[in-house]
Amino acid sequence: MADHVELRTGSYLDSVTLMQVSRTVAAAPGVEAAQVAMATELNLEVIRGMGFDVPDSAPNDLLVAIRGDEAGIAAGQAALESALTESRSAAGSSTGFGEAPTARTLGGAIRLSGADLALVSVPGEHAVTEALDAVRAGVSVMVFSDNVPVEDEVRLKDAAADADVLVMGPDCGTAVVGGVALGFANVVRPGSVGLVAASGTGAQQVMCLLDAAGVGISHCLGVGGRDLSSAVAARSTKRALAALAADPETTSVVVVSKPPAPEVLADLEAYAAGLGKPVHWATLGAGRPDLTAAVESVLTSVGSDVPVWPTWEAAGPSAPTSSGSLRGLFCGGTLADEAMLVAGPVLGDIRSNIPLRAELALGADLRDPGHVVIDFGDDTMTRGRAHPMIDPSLRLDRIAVEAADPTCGVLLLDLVLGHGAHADPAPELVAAVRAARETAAATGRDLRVVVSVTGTTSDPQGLDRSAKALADAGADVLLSNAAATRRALQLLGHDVTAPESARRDTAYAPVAGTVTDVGAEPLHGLLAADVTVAAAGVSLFSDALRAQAVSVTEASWQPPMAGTAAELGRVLADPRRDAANAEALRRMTAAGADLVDVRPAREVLGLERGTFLHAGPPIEFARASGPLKGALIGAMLFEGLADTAEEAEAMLEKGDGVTLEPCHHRDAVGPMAGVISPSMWVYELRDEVHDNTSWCSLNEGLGKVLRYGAYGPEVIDRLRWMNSVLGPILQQAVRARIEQQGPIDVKAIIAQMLQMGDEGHNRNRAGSLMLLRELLPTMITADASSTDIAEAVRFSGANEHFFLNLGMPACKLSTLAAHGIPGSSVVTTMARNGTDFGIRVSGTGDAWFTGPANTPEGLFLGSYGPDDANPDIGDSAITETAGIGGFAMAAAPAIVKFVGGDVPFALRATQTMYEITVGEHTAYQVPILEFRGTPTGIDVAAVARTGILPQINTGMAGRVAGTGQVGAGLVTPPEQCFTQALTALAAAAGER
Amino acid sequence: MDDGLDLTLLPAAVSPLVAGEVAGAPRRCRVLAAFPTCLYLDLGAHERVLAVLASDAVALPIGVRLALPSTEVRWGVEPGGHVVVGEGRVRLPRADVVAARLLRPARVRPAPRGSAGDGGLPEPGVLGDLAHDLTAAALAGGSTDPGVRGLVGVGRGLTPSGDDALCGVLLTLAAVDAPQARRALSAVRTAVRTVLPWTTSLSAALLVAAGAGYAVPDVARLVTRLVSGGGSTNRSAGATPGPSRTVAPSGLLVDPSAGSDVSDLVDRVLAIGHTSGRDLLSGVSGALRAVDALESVPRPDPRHAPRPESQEGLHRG
Repeated sequence: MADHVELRTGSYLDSVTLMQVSRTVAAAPGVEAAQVAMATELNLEVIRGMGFDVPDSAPNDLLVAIRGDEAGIAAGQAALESALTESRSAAGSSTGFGEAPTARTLGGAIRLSGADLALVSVPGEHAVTEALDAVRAGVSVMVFSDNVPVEDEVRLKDAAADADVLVMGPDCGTAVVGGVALGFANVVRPGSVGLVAASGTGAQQVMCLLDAAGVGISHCLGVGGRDLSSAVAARSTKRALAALAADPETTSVVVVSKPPAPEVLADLEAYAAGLGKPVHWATLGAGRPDLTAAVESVLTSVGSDVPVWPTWEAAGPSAPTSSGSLRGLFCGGTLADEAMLVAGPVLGDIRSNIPLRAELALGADLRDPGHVVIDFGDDTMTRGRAHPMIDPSLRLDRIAVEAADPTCGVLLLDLVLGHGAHADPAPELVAAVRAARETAAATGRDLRVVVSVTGTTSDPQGLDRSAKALADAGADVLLSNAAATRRALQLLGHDVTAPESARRDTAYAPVAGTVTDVGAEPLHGLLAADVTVAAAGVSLFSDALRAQAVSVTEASWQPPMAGTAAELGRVLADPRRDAANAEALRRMTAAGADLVDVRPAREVLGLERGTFLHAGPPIEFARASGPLKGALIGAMLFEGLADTAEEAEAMLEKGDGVTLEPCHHRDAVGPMAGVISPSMWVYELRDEVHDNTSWCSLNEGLGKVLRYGAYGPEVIDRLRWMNSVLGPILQQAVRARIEQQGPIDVKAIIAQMLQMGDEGHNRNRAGSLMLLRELLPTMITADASSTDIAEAVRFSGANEHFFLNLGMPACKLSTLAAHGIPGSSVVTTMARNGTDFGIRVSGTGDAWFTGPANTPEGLFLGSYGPDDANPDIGDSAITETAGIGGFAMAAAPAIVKFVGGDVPFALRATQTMYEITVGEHTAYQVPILEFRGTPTGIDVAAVARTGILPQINTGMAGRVAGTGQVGAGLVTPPEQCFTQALTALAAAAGER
Repeated sequence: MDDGLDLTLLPAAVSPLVAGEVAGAPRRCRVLAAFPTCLYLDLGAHERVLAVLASDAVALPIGVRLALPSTEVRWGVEPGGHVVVGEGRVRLPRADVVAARLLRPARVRPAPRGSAGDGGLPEPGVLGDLAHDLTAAALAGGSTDPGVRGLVGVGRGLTPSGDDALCGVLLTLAAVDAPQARRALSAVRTAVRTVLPWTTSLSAALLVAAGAGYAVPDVARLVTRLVSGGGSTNRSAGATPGPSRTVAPSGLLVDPSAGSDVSDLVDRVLAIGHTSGRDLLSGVSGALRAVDALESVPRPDPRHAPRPESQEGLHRG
């Protein structure tokens, strides 16, 4: 016997799916125990409790624990793989060559599918984020998730009112929209009674009774259990009532609920009176009619006969037993409530986990010798397991316990059929009932069992078949839950009869009022449409919808970055954010980039002797990486501040007369080490639209160069040549060109190069040639020796990255324009210094959010390998920040030969980035994606929410100072940059 | 559906207009037509047709509709072949289409005639005139037979142009909540019923559906909007086509004052079939003109601009 414990990262699956996977694995031959679960605290506890050694893990990791013999573990693993594959293919996440990945968010799924109804069943703390996506897209949403804070519910429902959509939920388990069952819902005949339901199983009971009486349902709109509380004030109930009032199929409305708060009720009464359709009230509470009585009064008012409610008599016993207590074991909370309300006045105190009065609460063991009613569907009972309508095991165990308990007189059970419930729950329950009666009989007890079955003849499980099987096992089966409860009371020897039916009309407004505008289509026509659905969360519900021939598009949802849920909620709720981000995108894409001059840095950047600009966020020399140190040493030598490398390094270490500052602090950018010293020449680019200027050093070519940290004599000699020959020639060329034709439009070159197979970060071939084409006429007429001109032209033409140093400041101008918009969560800087990765965000000012830079993975030059690579370095990630580079990889499939990966990866990379960007670039387009604009404007909130990190293509510098370039590859920023930025954005949103 | 041996079950939503046959005793049905997005099956009587629709097909009200797009479905049958329909299924060679629920086919919603106007419909041409004359006769209590006979089965296509226009008349009358309109609808419906054999089965089935107010969702919504005036609130009655109208890229005259969602609806309806959507809207235009003429104050004819050549129906002269 051995334990196999394994941790998988990046493979989130919902809890219901994982429970099914766990069961499959545990059932494999030779497996003694198995658990497959997300590594949340709760699950870790469970797995530790099973005796497994659990490694360090994060909540988004998938934990696999299998115990068995060697063959068993192998069989378990095989079962795991096939179960996981099955669950993934069911979710439709498999994609073909270069196809867009499935959406990660509900908003993405809605955009892809054009769905008109959304379904959210992700864990509660994340539910509002997903639901708001739907609301903002003008799509009504059912929120199955529970544990949503009430203030979030109010916020969500207010947003829904603005968008004319309905929020069904949170904690809404049941709805029927246009004949489509959502969540737990029975197959009911179409008809003219509309339901508004704040109670799931209550609504199911009402619909099933109406169906049995031959009365059909137009729609059942859930509103969530708290909607009629004072805090939520019937926000969804009113919208649902208005929608049903305008729906031509609906002629009368039933509100199913626990008693509303009194002031909410008064308000609702007034509201209902103006709807023009009768509104009935099926409510549960002390002294109020039970659900069956309420249904009977509805039937009377719509002119239908009240039928004899279906009953399936137990085979065998018929005499009442007079001893023992009532034990009600329920899956449906409202059914349990109703049972207590009906039985309480007869039996006296009934203890429960959902007691009618607090003092009747059961202890943790849920045991009591007196009358007991347990709701197995209560939140506290479903933590870490599926609802008992899906997974009946807890209740089945309890039935066996009651069978052996001499104080148990009658077992009262519910059985809920319909969509969403267990595919065939009766056989297990039948076996449990049979076993329980036998166990009791063995001790001389006649244990009577009553089952209330909530189902219709059209339910997939078969109402009659299920009920008959239970009756054959010795249970009395009744469709009416109230009648079933009374039957149980009778069996306990109490003389109870049903109240006179249909005595009272529970309608608030049976008189027709103003007729609503017939052309009006509230909720964007939801009730008139044949719905298509987008879903995030438990795939079980999507499968149930597909079985009803409903088109479902599932988001490949996963939880946001660990610990970000609350801040994410605040940032997404910031009312400034949408407009601020739209403005950021507008400015980014509107920014121009003209090459206007080439000048020494001293002149244009005001650099003093001894001041060095460098790439990335601020850093002191001691923490600098090899390549940055090497480049700074080289720059010291170049500036004549030191004669030897050792001397330079010593001066830098002491900081004597040396100032280090990020290029970005002066609106400049530098590739790799990005060191700019006062004597170096720089390109000057202008954005006339926003009146900004940016600068970048001249490119030195490939191989041993300063920017990769090399500082040998050939490096310094080249820099001197660039200063004395190349810079002045380029300056003359640019100035002459401006006189003749105006400045060179760098932005236009970027737009063009993307159509020619470049992505503008690590592939600049077409861009470099186009730039040279622009410069050549005035370069060759510059006032310099023909030898110098020839060398300058040869040098520029030989360098495939000649253009990079113009593309970068062009991108800097774009992001600079978008910087400083209050409330915007758009990233305006991504830069690395070889030690830290830092980002800055439009709405958080000049603050840097940093984390340790990752080391790129990719392809290596010559004999270099991964051990030679330095962590990510350079300001060149400004290209990705502005929507090109890794974000435009699909435009440059050939780049995979340089940075690694394959062509489908390149296509996927760009398409994935749309998930985390605010929009698309208007000028930069990807031909193979039908000229779709590149994904532009990285949204911190979207990154935190999806866990998708920006894709960066980059060169790799050698780890050791002086090495130079060792390769090129792919890299992402560290998560911390984004989680810290989110914290700052949340704080900024809260200050308002 | 890649594996031809596997019998796949395809859940489908069934229109109540055909639910009886789908649920009934199994019967062999001839395949009338097969397209990538849909199959048309002959249910026996001339005007009884069952459409098996992929999710990307035009949502005809006489169909069983799958949740899968046509890219994921292969029917495996050819026109002239046979499939078995009944017991809640359509048995295709490689898969059974299973009726999983009843769908609610879109239907026009009767409303009083709102502010006049047609929300920027394309020029209706000759079909519109024929539709107008039929509707006017029906509203006046005159004989509808000549008008109906002038349209039924006329023109090309699986749903001939005249039928599409006739559907437009039926839907418009079904959408106007007024006693004369109800009487006129009944008269046109009766006249249509006698001449159903004059047209194709599919078209006959759609005419029957239109007579009960059923149509493709966009059509039902558009007709409801146009009749109730929700789509053309700003347009003054009797406005003549002039500079206030702009020419859309499609070359159609579009009323810029029409609500943008109405013009979206118009665009989507125009995209139905080859000319079906356009012909249907011609019928709606003509019928609306006749309905508006009923009102006490006569309006000048808003359409005295030269009529563009109508591609269909001309040969009726």
